[in-house]
Amino acid sequence: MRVALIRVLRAVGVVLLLAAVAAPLAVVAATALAGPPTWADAALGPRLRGVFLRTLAAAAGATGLALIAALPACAALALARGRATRTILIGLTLVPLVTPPAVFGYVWMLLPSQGHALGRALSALGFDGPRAAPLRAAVAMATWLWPVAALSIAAAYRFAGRAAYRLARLDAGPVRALFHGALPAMAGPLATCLAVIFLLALNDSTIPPLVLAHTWANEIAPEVLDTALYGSPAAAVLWRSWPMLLCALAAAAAALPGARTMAHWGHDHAPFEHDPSGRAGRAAAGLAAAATAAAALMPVIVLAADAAASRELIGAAMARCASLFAVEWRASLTVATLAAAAAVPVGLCAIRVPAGGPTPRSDARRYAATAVVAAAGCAAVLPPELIAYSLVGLFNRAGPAGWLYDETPAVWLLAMLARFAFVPAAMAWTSSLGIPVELARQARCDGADESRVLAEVGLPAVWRPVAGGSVVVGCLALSEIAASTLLVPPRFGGSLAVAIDNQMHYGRNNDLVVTTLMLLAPLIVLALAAPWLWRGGGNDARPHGRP
Amino acid sequence: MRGRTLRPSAWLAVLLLFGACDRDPVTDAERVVKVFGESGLGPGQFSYPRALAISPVDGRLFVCDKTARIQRFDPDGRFEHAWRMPDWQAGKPTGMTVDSAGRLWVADTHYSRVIVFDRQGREQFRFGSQGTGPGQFLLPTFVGFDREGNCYVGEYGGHDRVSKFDSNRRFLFDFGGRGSGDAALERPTAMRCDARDVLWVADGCHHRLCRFDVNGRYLGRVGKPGTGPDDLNFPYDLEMLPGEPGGLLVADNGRSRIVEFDLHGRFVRAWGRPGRRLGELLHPWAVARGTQGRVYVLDSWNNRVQVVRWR
Repeated sequence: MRVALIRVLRAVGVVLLLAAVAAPLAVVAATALAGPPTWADAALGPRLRGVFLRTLAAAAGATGLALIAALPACAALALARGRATRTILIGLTLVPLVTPPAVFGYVWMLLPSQGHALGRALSALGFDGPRAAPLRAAVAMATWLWPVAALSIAAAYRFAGRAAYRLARLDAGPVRALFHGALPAMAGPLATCLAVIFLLALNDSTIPPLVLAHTWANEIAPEVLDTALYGSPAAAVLWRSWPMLLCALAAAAAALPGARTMAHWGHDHAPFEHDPSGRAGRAAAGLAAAATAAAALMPVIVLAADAAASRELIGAAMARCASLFAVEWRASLTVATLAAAAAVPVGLCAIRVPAGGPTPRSDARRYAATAVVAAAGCAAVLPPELIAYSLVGLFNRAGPAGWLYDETPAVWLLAMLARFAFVPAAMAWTSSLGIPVELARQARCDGADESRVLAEVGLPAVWRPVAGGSVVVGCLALSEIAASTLLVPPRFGGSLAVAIDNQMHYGRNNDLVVTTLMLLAPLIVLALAAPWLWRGGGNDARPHGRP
Repeated sequence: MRGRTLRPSAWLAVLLLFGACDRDPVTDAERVVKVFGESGLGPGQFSYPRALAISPVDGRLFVCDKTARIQRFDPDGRFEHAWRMPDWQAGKPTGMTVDSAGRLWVADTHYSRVIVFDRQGREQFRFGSQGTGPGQFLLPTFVGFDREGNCYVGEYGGHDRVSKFDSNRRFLFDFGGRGSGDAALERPTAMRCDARDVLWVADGCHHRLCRFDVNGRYLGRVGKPGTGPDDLNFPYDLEMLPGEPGGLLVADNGRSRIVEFDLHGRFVRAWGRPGRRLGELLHPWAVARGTQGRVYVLDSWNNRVQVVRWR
């Protein structure tokens, strides 16, 4: 029964991957091979050159600030006592990542206009002025992306930095051991996480326009419409994005060496040896955890302060907002649920069971699993508009494809998978790296075929990470804006995150604040639940399939 | 057994009956007499158009999109002329009106001013500056006129009010303002004056229309947030229907439709639903009345204008 189920799920996963990841990537590749009509069209004029440099500055600023903002969370994760506390901290750290990015732009525009001391100080410093726009973009993106740095550094420390630190401490003080022992050992993963943050900041088209910063992703949007020059919108995005894609390639090249170390992210079952004993240690751990919670819930705090200032009864406001965006709520929750469900078969396609002997078929499956992760990674780092326009090109035509595009959420769902399939795929792939080769070998000796090995050895090791990953994909789909803007089927209903993003451009509005808080509530609950799923809650026992 | 088979059929019949009663005998698509515009940056193409105005002098249309281009079309949608706003890096206009002399008044939202052009795009004059004092604006959204030629400018950004100027652009008074009271406004987005000198203001974020007299006194409101036929969801523009019994068209942006109310605020009918096909709309920002009973709907997310035979 289990073998049959996993066969069906993997077949579904393959179909989804072909439609959501392979097809758009093929369109992008075909567009790239066709080339622009003339190179002059793709060249940077003085205005775009300025925008390009501003974008680089904002992305670099966001990367640096995210690294700084991640330090309390790194400390909290390192000092946390007990598995349950660490799981809660990881859940809190996930919250900003599953929050719609536009919320951070909106919150940083609201803050200087609020009457409290921080608001007044920001206003006095000119944070809300026109010249501070790139800084605002960097700060807002950093408050969104710091969890990437926090989770990566925590994982890197567990798997590389801790041992080096211990060794260095034998003949050096703590500071020297950190800078000369732990940090060099973590250099690869650190470069990877910085490259990922830089990439995400580079491609983001939702935060900069809200903080009135003119960056590449939103400035090329009107230019992209001039499709007559390029033949298709996808070609226009591709050839208008070449400087960004070049930067992305450079960042990806910087990321690769550290990625292998990061493959072990997520399966830590050994307690830290830095359990704080004594009052000072406990105080430091508490302080770091409080700072992490404050950073994670910062948008909620700012929005709640704004909602409280309106002095309207929250129940009445919530009822009004639920009715105002009723269609969007229904459509977005449906697509998020479908995306979470679809993430499971996609994740199962990325299970990499060790060969345990010369078996060409299992070798092929392992390469296929790695190819799934690589393709999903490529789709994830491409500008979302490029993926969206590729899907529009594929489906916006007469016949059944057009019906899927216009009447059903199928194409919207494919775009969500294209953007976020990397999450369950990477989680399944990295988790399956921990499967002992002896288990697979023994299963094969006992006469199990590849599907049975997958079901009996692979599945027990990855089901928790895949389930956790699918929850994260559901959250990300609920929050996605850039591709949803282009792909939502109007007859089915619009996206709530897009509707909120649209209204955020027009400043303070109580309905908008309340609706955003209503959206953040389930996202926070799910973000906290996801690590419990993939880590097995407070249970310290090793999962089945581990030595 | 009989009940089991009949009951669903009975329900189906009732549903069909109600559906048939609710439906206009002429479908939404059949009312469309013309469509023009498409995505792009060339002449006759749009990139998220958000403002539309029709000249009462010659029926020509002006459309402003998110590239800050203003394009002029003849009443049949043929492109004639285009120009760009003098400044546009900080943001693009969202409201335009043509006065009785054929001049185009543009609420230059992000530059806190109103600029007036002739039909060739030559600037005639401008007024307004950033601030919250008398005659100043934060983010002006529309310009409207009453029957005596007085000018009304609406704004948002924390000081959501309507300022009244005389025909020489001297500030007279303002009304509205932020808050939760009956007369309070939150992002007023359009204003029209009817034949009885009642000012109708689209109170965008309160999801209603407010009525004021020409002295700024609050008279009443129409609509509320919700999903009923007469409920509104971000009403962004208004247009008066002439003659008897008259009426009012509202661009209901959030629900992608045009709603007609009578002058007592009673729901008459709605046209359009969310979609990309003929007779379907995606977040319309503006509605304007042309000649020969035509209504022009700015179908913003579909980057086009649909010309509808309304009556």
